[in-house]
Amino acid sequence: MTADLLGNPLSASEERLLAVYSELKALCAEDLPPVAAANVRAALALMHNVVNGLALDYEHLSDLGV
Amino acid sequence: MTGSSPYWNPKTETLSRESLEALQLAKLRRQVAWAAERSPWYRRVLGFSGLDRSSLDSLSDLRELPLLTREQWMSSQFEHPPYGEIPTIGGDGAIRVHTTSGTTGKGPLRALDSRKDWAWIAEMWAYGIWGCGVRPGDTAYIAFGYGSFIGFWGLHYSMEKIGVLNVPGGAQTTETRVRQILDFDCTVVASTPTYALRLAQEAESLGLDLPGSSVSRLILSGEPAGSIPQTKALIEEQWGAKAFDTAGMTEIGTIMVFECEHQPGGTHIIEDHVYEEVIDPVSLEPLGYGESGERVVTSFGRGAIPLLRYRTGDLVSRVPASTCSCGRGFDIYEGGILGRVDDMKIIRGTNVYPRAIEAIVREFSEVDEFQTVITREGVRDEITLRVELKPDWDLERWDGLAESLHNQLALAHEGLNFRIERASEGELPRFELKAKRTVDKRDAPIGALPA
Repeated sequence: MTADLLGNPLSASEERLLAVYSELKALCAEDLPPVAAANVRAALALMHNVVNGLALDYEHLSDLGV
Repeated sequence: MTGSSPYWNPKTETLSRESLEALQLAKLRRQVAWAAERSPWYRRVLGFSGLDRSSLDSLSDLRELPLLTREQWMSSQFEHPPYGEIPTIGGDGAIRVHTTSGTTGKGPLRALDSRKDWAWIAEMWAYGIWGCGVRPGDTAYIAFGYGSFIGFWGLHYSMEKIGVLNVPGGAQTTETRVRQILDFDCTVVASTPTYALRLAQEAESLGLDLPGSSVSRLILSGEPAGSIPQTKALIEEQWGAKAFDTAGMTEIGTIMVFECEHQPGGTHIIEDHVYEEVIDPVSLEPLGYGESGERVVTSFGRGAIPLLRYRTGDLVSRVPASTCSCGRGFDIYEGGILGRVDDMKIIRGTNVYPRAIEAIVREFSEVDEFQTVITREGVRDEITLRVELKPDWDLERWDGLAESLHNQLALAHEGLNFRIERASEGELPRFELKAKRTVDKRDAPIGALPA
């Protein structure tokens, strides 16, 4: 993804934030121990506020248990 | 930038109207697609209307979708217990359930939240509390019961997120709360407007100096009174602090409007997260800037409850963002939530709004609490203002006060005759959450009417 929801190019920090978000989503699909599974989901819920707030992405995450 | 920005989210709060609407449309398309795919209710309603993400060329296309009412939601919940057909998940996919108060006798609405939705709920509060100047280093007292009613739950988590020291004020007496506010040297207090006044009364009776305390900001929510100028002025005077109005609802899960530090006489709509329409409650036609009508909300927040075109029953008047000098692109509800579409009373042909009565009564600093009682005597409706005075007030001045109240209420209501009665000390109810100061006995069973 190279642009936000308004079509503006992503800044360097926005690209990194989006990468963290994507990595957390990917981790939710992994078979992780409870300590990791629950905290990754909690982190992803907060990270969603960042990408949604900055208009980088907008989606719902219930399929990931988030 | 972190502490110096006046905006929680500078990127979206300062968008132009054109960009803001483009963002809303992008989110709306995805929310409509999500609702059609996952919510049994919306799959049926959207299918019937023929509306889908590809047919949404503009925000106004959403008007093709029928309005959702609370009654429909309640019926769905009743027919498909416990949560109805609107949610996209069941209890096993959620982490919380909150309810409305259920005071209508129809039972409460049950609102589910996933982890992500709950995080969003706190996020919305962050726009409001950051926007009115709350910062890391503040200490907040949340005068709230922390029960199944959603109330200030989101604000609590939002304060934590910002880095504010929270003092949860649940399950405390009013006296204990006042003492804790002072003992913890709190700088911010969150409560309903009515309860802010109640706390101030308690402090006065205990001989405690609230205006001299560290409290500099009050976050008000739960009642329209937070934007009634006279009530707000009284609260600010009694606390020696600035009061900021917010408004939300269980159906959304959080606030959708807040008053910024510039105090423009209204509340900004958090437009990157909600799309709000103002309609004529009878014709259902859209209304323009400055026209009073019913607020209809489409929320982009919750995925578990994708709320589209929900009739809130709130009476509002929308004005452009430029009305405020804060630089936000978010439009404003002038005067906040003006009341409920259905809270107008007609007394012998005259329209009477609780907000208008409160605005007049709050001009009289002698009044501690009040209640409006409407009765039917034979074929004639009567309206009585019951007034409880401050404990140390000189009763010999009652006749003059009653006459002034009578005259001002009549002047504001086409000469309508308000009876003014003095209630004894402690007789009228006090409220911690939403105040109910209007008692309409006209629909009461005959045996329940006063003699």
